[in-house]
Amino acid sequence: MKKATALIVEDDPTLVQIFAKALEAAGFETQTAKTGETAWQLLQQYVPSVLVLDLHLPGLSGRDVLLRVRGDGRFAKTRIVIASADAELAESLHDQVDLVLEKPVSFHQLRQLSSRLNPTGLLGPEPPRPK
Amino acid sequence: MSWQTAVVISVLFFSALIAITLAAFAWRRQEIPASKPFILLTLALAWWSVFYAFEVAATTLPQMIWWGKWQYVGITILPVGWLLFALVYAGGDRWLSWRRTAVLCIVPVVAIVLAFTNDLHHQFWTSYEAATAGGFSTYDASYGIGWYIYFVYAYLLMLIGSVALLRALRNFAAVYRWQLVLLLLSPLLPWISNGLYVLRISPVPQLDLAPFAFTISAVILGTGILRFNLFTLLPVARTAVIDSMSEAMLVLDSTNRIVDMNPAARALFRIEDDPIGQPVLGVLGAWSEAVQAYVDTAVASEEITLDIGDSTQHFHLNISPIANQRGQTQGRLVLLRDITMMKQAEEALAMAQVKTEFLAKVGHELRTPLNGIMGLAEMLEYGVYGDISAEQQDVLLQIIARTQHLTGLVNDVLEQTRLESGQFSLDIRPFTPFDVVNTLRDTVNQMITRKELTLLTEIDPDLPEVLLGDAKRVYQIMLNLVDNAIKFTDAGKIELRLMASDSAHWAIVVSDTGIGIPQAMQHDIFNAFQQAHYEITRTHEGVGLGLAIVHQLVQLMDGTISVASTEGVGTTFTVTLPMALEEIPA
Repeated sequence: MKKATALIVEDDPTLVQIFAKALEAAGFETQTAKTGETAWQLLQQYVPSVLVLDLHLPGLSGRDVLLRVRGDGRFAKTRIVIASADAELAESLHDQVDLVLEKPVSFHQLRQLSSRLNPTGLLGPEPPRPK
Repeated sequence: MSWQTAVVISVLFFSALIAITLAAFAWRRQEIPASKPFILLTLALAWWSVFYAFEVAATTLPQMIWWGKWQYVGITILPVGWLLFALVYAGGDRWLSWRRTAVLCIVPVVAIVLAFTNDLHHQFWTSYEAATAGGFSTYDASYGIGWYIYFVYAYLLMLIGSVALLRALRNFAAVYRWQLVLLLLSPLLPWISNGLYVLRISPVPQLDLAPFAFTISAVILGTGILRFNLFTLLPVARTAVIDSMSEAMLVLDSTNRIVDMNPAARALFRIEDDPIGQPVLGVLGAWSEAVQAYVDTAVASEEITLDIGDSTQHFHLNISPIANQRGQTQGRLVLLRDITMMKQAEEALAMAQVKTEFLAKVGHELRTPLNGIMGLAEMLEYGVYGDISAEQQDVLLQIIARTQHLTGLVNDVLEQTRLESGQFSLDIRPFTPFDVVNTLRDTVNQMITRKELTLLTEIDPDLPEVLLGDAKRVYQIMLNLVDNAIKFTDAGKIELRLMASDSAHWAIVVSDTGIGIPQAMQHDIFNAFQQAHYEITRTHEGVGLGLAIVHQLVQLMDGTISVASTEGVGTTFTVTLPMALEEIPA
């Protein structure tokens, strides 16, 4: 069975790394975009199962990306997770997305939540825990 | 009936109609104090006119005398109505009371009784004889002692009313003077005409012209009411307004001498001697610089600062020219409104706004790197980058715990800032308390385990499954209380209970077996940053915002919070919130 896909739109490289690992641990195949424009270009090529979206992005903002995605029928089944430090803005978009996560977003939190959003139900390999 | 009789009757009925119309108008404006005596006045007038018309229409002497007696009900009430109206209008109504009004009515009532019983005593009229004048029948009466007493009394009341109005004239601004002239004119007419009739020097000796004169008065009064807003503009209010207004008012003549200065201005500039007639530069010598700056200014509306006593005060200065009716400038009106408080509030608000924005920005900037530190540590700890030793794991857990703590502080400061800024609103939706408790259990699980405590949660079966409220803020209240309990409890258990207090309230009760809160401190714990004042902070980290935030959130939700605590035994916090249920569509 093909793995579910997730697109992470986030301009902070460390957070991209953490979010990607968390989603991979939840069984997703991830792609990342550092700007809204790049994200929108990628979204022209495929429809991810999950879209993790930062709101404050250089250029095309996360909110603009959200508006475009919500206005495009192709993404009707895409689950959208907002990960933002701007609690007020994030909360105001509460109705338009599946999940709102306020930064700091814990690796574990994102891993657990995104595994619930995984349509294939396939989990990534559970890494060995040290004794 | 002669045509003259018909004309007189028509005019009298017309008078009555106008008077009744004015009474009806006043009836609709009963909120105005002068309206009640005005109704009395106009109805008395109408009464007089109507019965006078009956008298004129009568053909026999007894009929005329009979209707003449009925007129006296209106004739005697009229001066009382006039006096009451004049007193209320001129502002002398403080003197009035129901008792005094009743006393005023004694003479009129006696006069009416005497008039109707005249055949028994002949003290009101001594004789009547039929007469014709100007083409219609009337009668000639000779007056008795009772009538003269009444006559003097009635004119006395009219005089007192007119004097009261004249005295008030001094306080009236020009805009009201026309009304007053109209008012004074109106009673003068019947007065003169009635006098002429009684003294028998009238152009139509047997015809009392008073009702006609009253009609003209009524028309004048009506004009006053409709055109000059006689009722709505109570002239006496003007002096009271200027004396009681908080703005300082100065009126200067064209040579900059003080014509008028209200008590607020005297108090502001601490003027004890009478400044009227003095040059403004002399009276306000201490502020000569400011006075000089505006000495030739005809019109101004601007903000100025003045040093008064030890303080600098801000004012809004308004200067406007005072012109006479020909448009010539005769002086200036100067108004000063103290806006010091407003200025200070504006400055404080601007500073608070800057602070809020700054803290919000710092908060956001802190969250991203914090997220990096925590996430990276969690990944390492989780083994994403390979196996780690037990020692390494321990260090990583400490990094995570410290970062979580720091995150909590940043969140608290941000939350407090948002609450203080007033830009905070609740997001009311249906929510399930059970889910909120479950999320909370997940969140604090690690902390509970680490401190080897027990967390007991209990939800009252009477509590509705779905409530209406801001779930996120309810969660925040519970989390802050439980977090606080964990922080101050080293052994034992923490209980979180949700209860239905009554049909309209529900409660969140968090109790612990911790160190307790000293009695002296219980008072202050809900104030922001309060914990920092106490020794306790050194061993229990925190800036003391958690409970302050809970307190503010509870207040926003129209709820209450209370604390019960015994040192060394434990603490119980009880939050009571109004119970809102989702409306189920029928």
